[in-house]
Amino acid sequence: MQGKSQYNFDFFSFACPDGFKENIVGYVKDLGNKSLQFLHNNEFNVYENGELVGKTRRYMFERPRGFLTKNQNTYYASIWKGQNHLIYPLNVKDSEFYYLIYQGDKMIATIKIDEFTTQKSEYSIYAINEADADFLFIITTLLDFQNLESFDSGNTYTKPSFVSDDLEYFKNKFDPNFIDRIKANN
Amino acid sequence: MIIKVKQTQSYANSVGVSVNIGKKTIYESDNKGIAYEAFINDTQYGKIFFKPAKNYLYM
Repeated sequence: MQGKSQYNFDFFSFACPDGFKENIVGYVKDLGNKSLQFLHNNEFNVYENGELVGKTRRYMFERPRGFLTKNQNTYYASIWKGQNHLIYPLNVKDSEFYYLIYQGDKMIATIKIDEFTTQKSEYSIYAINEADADFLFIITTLLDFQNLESFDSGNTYTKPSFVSDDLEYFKNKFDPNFIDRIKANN
Repeated sequence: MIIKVKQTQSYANSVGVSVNIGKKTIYESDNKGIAYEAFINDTQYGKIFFKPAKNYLYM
């Protein structure tokens, strides 16, 4: 990226198949054996020298938890220079937080949150060497940026919304040895 | 490949000027935003600067 490319971004809400309603967009999508209610979507576009090269959509959905309560979770679908990716936030062992990046059925990167506080955030990206570093850097900052609730409501941070590891659909995406393999080959 | 990404400027501490009426930001100067830097093998790889209330911008 440095000295190679100039990127510009834009970021907006988009309509779901059932139509757009003031900050609430609802439709049901079947994820494996789970039917989930989708609530709201954002789209993030990346332009390289004026040409659209990346498009990332955030999907927020909720699932029942107990009698009256619901969990809200998030995942991302991203196209970068013609390649499709899915990005899953995952909480492992209650204290380790990751984003898993898949290209098709292959995990190409794991982003580990090293620190996330009100004034500072740091991430380590472990990726196969063939992965696009520009994409990984941009998507990491997008993920961090989206954890900011709102710039015009006191500049406060919210905690990242992570899928708990009891949701099998996401848990099965985690490879506990992936980071060690990347470290060994670095 | 291992990439380290750090937020190097938080929005609250950025040096720009913003004007708020109620909860709505109506003006922000060009330097108000969030900055990130990436490093590969301790060498700076790139910088990203997000500006709220406008299109977000890479610098």
